Amino acid sequence: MKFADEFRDADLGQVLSEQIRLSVEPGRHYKIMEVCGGHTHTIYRYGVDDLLPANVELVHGPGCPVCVIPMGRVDDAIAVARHPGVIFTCFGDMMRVPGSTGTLLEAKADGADVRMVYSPLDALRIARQHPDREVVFFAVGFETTAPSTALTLMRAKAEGVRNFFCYCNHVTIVPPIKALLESPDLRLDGFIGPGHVCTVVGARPFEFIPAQYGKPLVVSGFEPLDLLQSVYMILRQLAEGRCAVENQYTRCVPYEGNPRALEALADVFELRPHFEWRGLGFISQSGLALSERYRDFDAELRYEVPRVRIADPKACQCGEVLKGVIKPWECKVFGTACTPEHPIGTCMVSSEGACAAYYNFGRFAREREVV
Amino acid sequence: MRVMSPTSEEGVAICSDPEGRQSEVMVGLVGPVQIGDTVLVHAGTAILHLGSGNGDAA
Repeated sequence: MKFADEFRDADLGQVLSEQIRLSVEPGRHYKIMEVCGGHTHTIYRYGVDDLLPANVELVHGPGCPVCVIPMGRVDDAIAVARHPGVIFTCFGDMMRVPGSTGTLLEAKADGADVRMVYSPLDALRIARQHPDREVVFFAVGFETTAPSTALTLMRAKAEGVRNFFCYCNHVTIVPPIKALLESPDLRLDGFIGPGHVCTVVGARPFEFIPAQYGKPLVVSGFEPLDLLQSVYMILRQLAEGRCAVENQYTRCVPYEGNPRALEALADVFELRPHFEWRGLGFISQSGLALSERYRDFDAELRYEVPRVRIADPKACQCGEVLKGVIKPWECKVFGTACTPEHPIGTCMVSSEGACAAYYNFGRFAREREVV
Repeated sequence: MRVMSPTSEEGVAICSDPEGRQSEVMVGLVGPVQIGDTVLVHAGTAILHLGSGNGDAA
């Protein structure tokens, strides 16, 4: 399979592993954050961290879109889903994210009409098929997913669809990175940049990281060799005393992004003054709402919802995991009370969540890593 | 995914993933696509045109 197989070559992986080993200073500990949940998934699926020297630590960031949705927003989604006559649509993993009173899946079992879709276009199709019902799409995701919601809403508007609404929870990746850089909890040496977000926004929005914080960022692809090469590129910058935005994922990421996608985002969305992130709290200008031109599609204006801020369960340490302060297996309930089958926290729900990825691909290596 | 059909007036093309599963994909963000082209798809929308023709592609 082109674009994938050639980036999974085990022999080349060993070569890169050796180059990485030669580029680190003995006695120095390196902390590199992979921002995107897709990278976390690849790291555990292919054992990328096993190919790194012991003094190169990968820290998982807040880049899993399902993981960062706070409980209050899930409660609001369930409240909308329980409205009579509503067909509530969402991606499959969102159905299993716990709110304070349960999940959308449980609401479905209680009688709410909750349906899984693969794309917002599927939700719009349901709206066309049921003109007598109101169809709501639970929009989540970063700049990678937001264009899909934008195009769908543009189509709905062009077609004059009146029974389609969007419960918008799209977020942007730069503000939480900035929040992490300001956090005293973390001292990071560099970032593995989110490849598919950069396909849309380009690499330029990340230039503030080297310019203001003196840290390198390398935009990376999602295959194991991509990640190894990105780690190597970061370590080379550090060894040479440089810091810059570099693009390892040139086969997919134009430095300026996708102008058409950016135009669609600018047309359909506007920045919220602030948005709550699980584990990170409220971050200014980090969430998207529908713009004035698309207010007729805004589920938050259409339906009464509780809008109550809900604290995470005390046992759950997703917040610390999302900030990279602790590793998944250091959470008190990891693998015992919290599993992919019965998740307590969001990080155990999505395949891009650090806890789920670690549980599914790496839990039996736990003792080795703790040592 | 590989483009399997001409683009409709609504900007949608049928695309196939490496396992042969077909789905509708909005291609309005990547410009005109031809049958056999390869596109990077996220949540039902093509966000990047990866290549043209019938290459052995994802």
